[in-house]
Amino acid sequence: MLRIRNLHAGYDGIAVLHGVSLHVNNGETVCLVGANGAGKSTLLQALSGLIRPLSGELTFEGYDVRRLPAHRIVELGLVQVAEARQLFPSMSVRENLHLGAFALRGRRNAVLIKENKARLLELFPVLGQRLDQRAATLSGGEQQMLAIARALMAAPRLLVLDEPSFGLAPLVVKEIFRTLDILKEQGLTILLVEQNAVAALRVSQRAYVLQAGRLILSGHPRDLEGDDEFRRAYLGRDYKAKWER
Amino acid sequence: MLFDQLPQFLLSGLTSGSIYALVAVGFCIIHNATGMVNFAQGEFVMLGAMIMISLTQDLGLSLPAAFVLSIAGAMLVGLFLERIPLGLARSRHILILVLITVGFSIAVRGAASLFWGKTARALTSFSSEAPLLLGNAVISRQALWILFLTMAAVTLLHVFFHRTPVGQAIRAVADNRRGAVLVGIPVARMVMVSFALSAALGATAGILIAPITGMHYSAGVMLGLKGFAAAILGGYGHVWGAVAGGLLLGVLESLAAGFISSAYKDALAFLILLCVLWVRPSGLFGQRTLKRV
Ligand SMILES: Nc1ncnc2c1ncn2[C@@H]1O[C@H](COP(=O)(O)OP(=O)(O)OP(=O)(O)O)[C@@H](O)[C@H]1O
Ligand SMILES: [Mg+2]
Repeated sequence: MLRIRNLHAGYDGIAVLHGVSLHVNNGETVCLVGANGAGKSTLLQALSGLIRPLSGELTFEGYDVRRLPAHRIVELGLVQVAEARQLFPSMSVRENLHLGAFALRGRRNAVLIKENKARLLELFPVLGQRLDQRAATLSGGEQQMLAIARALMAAPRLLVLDEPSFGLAPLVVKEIFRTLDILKEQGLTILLVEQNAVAALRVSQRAYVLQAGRLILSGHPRDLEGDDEFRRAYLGRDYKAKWER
Repeated sequence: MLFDQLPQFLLSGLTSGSIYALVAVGFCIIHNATGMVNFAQGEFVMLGAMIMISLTQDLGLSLPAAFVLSIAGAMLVGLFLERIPLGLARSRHILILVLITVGFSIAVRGAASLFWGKTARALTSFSSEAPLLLGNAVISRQALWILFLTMAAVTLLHVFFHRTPVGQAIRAVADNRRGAVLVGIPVARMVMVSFALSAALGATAGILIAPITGMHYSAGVMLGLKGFAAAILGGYGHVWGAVAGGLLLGVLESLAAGFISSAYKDALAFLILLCVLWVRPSGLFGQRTLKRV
């Protein structure tokens, strides 16, 4: 579904990513973990057409993402819940949701959009109680849920999430990951970027580790957990106990 | 007694205020979409009126047909400004873009003076010249047209921005440009729509006021500045604030002209502008500080 080969990307001609190759198959949940500044968000920006890669291949469902304007990428079904959520703060929850479906606008999709919205309000009941509230007045957790719901309004084929647990209380993080579990079960393909490696590995079928713009490890979450170096760097000694608590 | 004339002053103030409001809303729409001030806004006012005068008087077109064509003409000029002069400097500093709009307005004025000459021309009124009596105030039919069409335009705008996907998308671009890109809004196209819309509003203002004041190649300067002052008064970027700012400015001007002297009428707009900038830069109706994302 998504194929990245030998991608070099960065800002103002200075590379941050030095030859990254990864792929996501239909129906998979894949996570990408890495420390601050490793280049995770840079990779996702290239995916969504927010920055143009310096070199390398980037294809989604066979389309060359590098040649597509950002809105076409969304129309193809690659939708991102970006860093810092990027909501429309002075617009209502309802309007944020409707704008999420902008790529589907047009008569043909009116029914689909309506059904989608009803389904999402079931998944996120808090949003249903806050439809007329401005997005800026929501709590951090509610904002993150709105950001995810807004992305789902576009009926994505691949949902990309950039650190959805960032800055949230442990209970809220659990709720977010429970939601991802549900979406995964419904067959949605997910690419999850996280620093919370413990939680990310638990929901994923495959994982990649990015360090200073290069992939240093990839494989099954169980294999990564078995890797001493990875465990020290990303999980901490007693991570199992930490998650179960 | 001067106070007997208060209703008269109010009516004429609301009439010119409507014109300022339309121009001010045009300023806001472009500012919200791009973060810049378009100092060529007044030229759309002039162009709309001059094209209308040419089409009706030189080519003999009917008012409705000429109205549609004049608006369309101004919109094309707005799109041209956005695509070519501004488009070629897209990545430059915002100040450079603002200066380009200043240069563009000078060029448009020059072209207009070559094409139409420098003498003022009048547009025929939309309906008969016979004024109507409203209590003890007299109102021209054209003023009624102005009040009515301005209200209609503002209502349509409100519906557009709140009820249509494209209108909502334009507000989304203003609210969070990056977020807009991420939900699949073609931002560049929304900016084009904003320029076309602003041009249409400016042209409407020009066409409405031309039967009362006439129009000439450089009349857009003053109307543009009045609209700018109204937009500041309303809290730059707030569409409803701009409407209120325009009406308020019109009424204050009219009162000042009636009770003090019409010599100070134009100066008043700039005095108000300066006072707002000194005392309350966020305008009367803007509560949050201007924020660009
Ligand atoms: N807009 C930008 N312009 C220039 N450099 C940038 C920009 N955004 C990020 N960088 C640099 O690129 C590198 C990678 O940043 P990136 O945001 O991709 O990291 P990240 O893995 O997402 O980190 P975090 O976990 O903190 O979000 C960093 O060194 C950062 O300073
Ligand atoms: Mg990041």
